[in-house]
Amino acid sequence: MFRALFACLLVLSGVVSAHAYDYPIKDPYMATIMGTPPQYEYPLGDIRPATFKDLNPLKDLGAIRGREILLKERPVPDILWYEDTLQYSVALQRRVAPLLFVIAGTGSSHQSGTCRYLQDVFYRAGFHVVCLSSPTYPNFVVSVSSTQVPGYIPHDVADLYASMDAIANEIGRDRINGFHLTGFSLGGTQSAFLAELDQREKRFGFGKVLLLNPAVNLLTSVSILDHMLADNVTDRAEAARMVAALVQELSEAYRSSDEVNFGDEFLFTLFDSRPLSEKELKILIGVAFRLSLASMVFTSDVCTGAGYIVPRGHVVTREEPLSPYLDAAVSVSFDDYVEEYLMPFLAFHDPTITRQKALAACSLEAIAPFLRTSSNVAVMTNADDPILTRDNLSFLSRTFGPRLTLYPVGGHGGNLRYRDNVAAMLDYFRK
Amino acid sequence: MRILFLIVLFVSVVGCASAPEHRPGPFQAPVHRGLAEDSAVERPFLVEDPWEGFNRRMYHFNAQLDRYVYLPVVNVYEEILPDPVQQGVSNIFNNLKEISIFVNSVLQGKAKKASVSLGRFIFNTTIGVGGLFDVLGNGGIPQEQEDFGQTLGFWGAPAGPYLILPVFGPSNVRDTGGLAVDAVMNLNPADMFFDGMGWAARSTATTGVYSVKAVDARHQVKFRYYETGSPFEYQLVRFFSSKKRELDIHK
Repeated sequence: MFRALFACLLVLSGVVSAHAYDYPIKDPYMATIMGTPPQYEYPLGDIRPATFKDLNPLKDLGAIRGREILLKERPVPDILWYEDTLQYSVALQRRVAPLLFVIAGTGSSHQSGTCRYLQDVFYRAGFHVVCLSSPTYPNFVVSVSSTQVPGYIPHDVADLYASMDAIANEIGRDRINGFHLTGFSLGGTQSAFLAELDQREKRFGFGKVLLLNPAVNLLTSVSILDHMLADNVTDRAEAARMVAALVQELSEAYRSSDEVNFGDEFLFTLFDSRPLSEKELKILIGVAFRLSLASMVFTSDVCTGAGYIVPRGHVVTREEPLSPYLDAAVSVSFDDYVEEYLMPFLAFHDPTITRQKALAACSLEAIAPFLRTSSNVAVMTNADDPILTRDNLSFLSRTFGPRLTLYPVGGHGGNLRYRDNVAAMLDYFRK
Repeated sequence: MRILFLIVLFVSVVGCASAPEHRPGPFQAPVHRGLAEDSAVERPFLVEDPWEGFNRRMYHFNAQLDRYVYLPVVNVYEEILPDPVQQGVSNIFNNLKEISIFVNSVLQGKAKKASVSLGRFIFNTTIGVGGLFDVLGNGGIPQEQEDFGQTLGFWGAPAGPYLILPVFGPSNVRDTGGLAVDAVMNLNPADMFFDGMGWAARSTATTGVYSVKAVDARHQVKFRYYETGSPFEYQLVRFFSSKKRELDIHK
């Protein structure tokens, strides 16, 4: 009797784990932009079933809170007065618990959709969760960065590490019984470097580290993003026209629908009826990347006063129109940024540095021996992730072996909320 | 008057903080990318903004007001009151807005919106206990968005230059006029309930209601200054708020 039941269970569990991976969006660019349709998301209510405590109207006191911390006592440029403190967000358990750090992707903040989502998932799973903006995000550049010139991973990672240490102290280390780390995209890459740094500095002793859709080589991945724009439009005017046409289309749809809210649901139904072409998708991704790069470049230039975008010696005032600077900044590709600004800056402070040395230091290959032997560092990414080349993928599988989880589809993080992915992440951190 | 008081308080707070001036570092970029503005380039996202200097100052001013005065109060409000209570407060004030929404729908000859608004007001005021519960909203009939600025736009009044108002934020000349008209149509619950009181008591009660209303208004607006993280936020907001108004007028 028991044996029969056991056999049944075995068969059942086999069936469950062998079901096909059916994240619905097969186009990697579409997946990158649209993410996971709501009906395919992991049901968050399953992580922790509702209890009597949830009836307490005060229970949301422990929910996600934005916080700020002053880390660098230095003057801030007048037009960036509001960026004097580092902004981050916390979701804290009331009892002693392990703390999970989440590092945002390129140009994103601690409040980006991905960060909020991961914070929600792991807070429900019983972790304290702290989300940090990417070192390429303007607030981080102004408030924390020691050089205020983002993009060189060793510098950025050192700044992240110092901020994480200060935040852990602020929360109180006696409330924390262990540290874990994850990051998305560039944040994933930085997480690997943070794990390596921590092995030497030993301020955290990370239990588990999970890299979500990391870039293997910063410059390779970012060049791919740059090319999405460069290969599909002849000049800026064309890109602007295309985006304007899309905005127009969205506007028409919004006007003729009864929908009062302009949310995700609306977008999903819209793009179901009128799928975007691959060219349009690539341009959209490229434009979004360029805009966030422009914010970063301008912010950095205002902080250093290097005269790259704003004429050297000129102080930008609060009433000054910024359109000419935006114009100049969006014309900067990441390659331009590296050649005309980042490299000269690094060389200014360390004449022995070469382009090759600097770029090599921004690749996971630089810490490959550490990654090969660290059983607590794992990767989750997709075979069709547009920011990875074939070489990158084979590097990941060579280096991480069984610690690499490779999904067949999902684009760049489009499947992060898909039920199988979330289940795998929870499984990884709970084990 | 109250706003004036706030502003005086605020200026005195900000005035105290004088930080040392920011200085450029020693590194100079080998290339300067700043281009002369090319007027031949098409700018589909540009909104006409002849008062940009004033507007940008006001944008910073509002952000500072938010950070040092308004939001700290709203944050305390959100911390101490349970979510359902906050929702109830919002519902009461939103219900009173139905009057101006109804009037504006009628003025534009939008029968469906007018009937939705009227129905919401009647049911939410009676079954919803004076608007405390948004019965119809929970049943899938959300509040329509209409105001006098939209009515003017509907009948062809041009928007006029983009304008950032103190406290209220992004607007334009036409909608600023509209705000004043809507304000007249917005009832203050204090007028109805505190009639029998003496002057001092009534004045205190009215101030109290206005304060809660102001806090609730900020609580309901999810926008936070500089949350986009972009130093070019002013342009983004200018484009999206103008576009949204334009669409809502024709909706």
